[in-house]
Amino acid sequence: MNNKEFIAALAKKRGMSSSETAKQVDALLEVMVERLKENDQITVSNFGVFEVKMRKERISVNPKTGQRMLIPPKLVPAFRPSTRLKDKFK
Amino acid sequence: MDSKLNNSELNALFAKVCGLLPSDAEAFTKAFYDTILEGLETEEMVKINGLGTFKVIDVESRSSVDVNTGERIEIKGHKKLTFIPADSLKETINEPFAMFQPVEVDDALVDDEEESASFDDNMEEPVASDDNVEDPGVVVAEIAEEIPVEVISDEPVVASTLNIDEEMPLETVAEVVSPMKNVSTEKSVESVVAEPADAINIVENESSVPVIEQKLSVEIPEKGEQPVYDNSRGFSLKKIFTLSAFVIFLLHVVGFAAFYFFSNYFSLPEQNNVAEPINNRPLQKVENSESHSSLSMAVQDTNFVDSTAVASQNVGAETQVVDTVAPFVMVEALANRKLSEISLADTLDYAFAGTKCEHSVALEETLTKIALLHFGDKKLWPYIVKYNNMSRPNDLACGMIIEIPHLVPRK
Repeated sequence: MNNKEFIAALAKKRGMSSSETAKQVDALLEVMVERLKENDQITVSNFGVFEVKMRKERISVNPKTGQRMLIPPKLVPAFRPSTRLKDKFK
Repeated sequence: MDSKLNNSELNALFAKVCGLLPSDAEAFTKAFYDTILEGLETEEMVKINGLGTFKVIDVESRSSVDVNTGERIEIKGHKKLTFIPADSLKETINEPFAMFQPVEVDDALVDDEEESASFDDNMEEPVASDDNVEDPGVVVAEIAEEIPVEVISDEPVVASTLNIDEEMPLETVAEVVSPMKNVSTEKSVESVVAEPADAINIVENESSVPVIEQKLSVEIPEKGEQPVYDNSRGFSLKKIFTLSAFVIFLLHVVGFAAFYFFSNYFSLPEQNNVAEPINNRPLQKVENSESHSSLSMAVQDTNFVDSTAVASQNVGAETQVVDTVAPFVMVEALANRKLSEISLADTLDYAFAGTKCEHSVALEETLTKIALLHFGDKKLWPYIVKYNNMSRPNDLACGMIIEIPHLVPRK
């Protein structure tokens, strides 16, 4: 299911037009991203947790050349499904 | 910052942004997540632009170990929900760290100067003092001070969100640097530890075997390749180690010298003790022999004489002087007994002749002391034991009353 299909399904459910639904989805995502940027944790009950994790810096070695690279630390968005959701798909 | 939002709080924010009623917003978000779940159930994959992809993936079965029992168990293959963030989301989230770029690590620098390679060249040189262990905190502080400045100067864009960005790098950089510094310090410490061992080897080799100097000349250039500060530190430690080795050697020498000196010193008084009665008593004995005839001597006197004679025998082997000083009778007595018999004869050649006196054992008195007091020879103490039927001669109690026998020579 790609983005288009998803919007269509959501629009059908909500009884709204696709374009309007797309706008609202964008708005929702914007709010979520804004919170994530502030290092917040977003818990959605019965779905999971959106959070930001920090990956520490590390040294990776290119196996071909043996060249060692220092990969800088970075912040990564992450999603943790709730236990109920996990069990559902198990 | 760092707060936890739940569903309703998010809905409230969402409603505010879109100008929706809170109930509408709630219904929408619920529909949003429900749709995702439905999509996952039907197609096992939902892609949302600006957020990412939710996927249900297969996990193969694998064998593992039960943590509690240690048994081997097999975890069966199952399905798992995963989330792959979209690139755009990744970028926006990682914005505070955007200025960091992967850096090639120069192999030569890896061990000691990783931190300097990882950040910029204008960073200060790694601290090279001996108290390296204390340094990480200082270095971290220095780095943390410098990096944000760079950030602001290099990328004015970031400065707009300064209140967020300035703090983030500070913390993270501090975190980043501290483990690395730890690693490097450990390594440097190891290298330092390794070096002194070489240093000691070198010192020993130089003094003993000239041939190995060739080896040394090979080794030294290798060290020259290392950074200068490392060398200087190694040198000072070399000095310390050679010095300490020298000091320890000196202490050993002094200790042995002291041992020999004092062992001689302690053995001297004993000889004097033994020698004294001989020097004094022969004179008494001479008087005795002059005044009485040898047959009519009092028993006590004979005792005295004999014990002195024995004492003189003991020392006679060691000091020839006694022979010349000792009176004629004693020389005879000496001649009658073989030297080899002396030690045995001392304890066998006497018979008891009644009780001479009673002796109350004083503090710190030993049987040998008592024997010396009454017989003039400490070697005669077994007679006291035998005469008193002492079962445990080592347990001499203070205040104990023991009987001192008269000793009469058997011959």
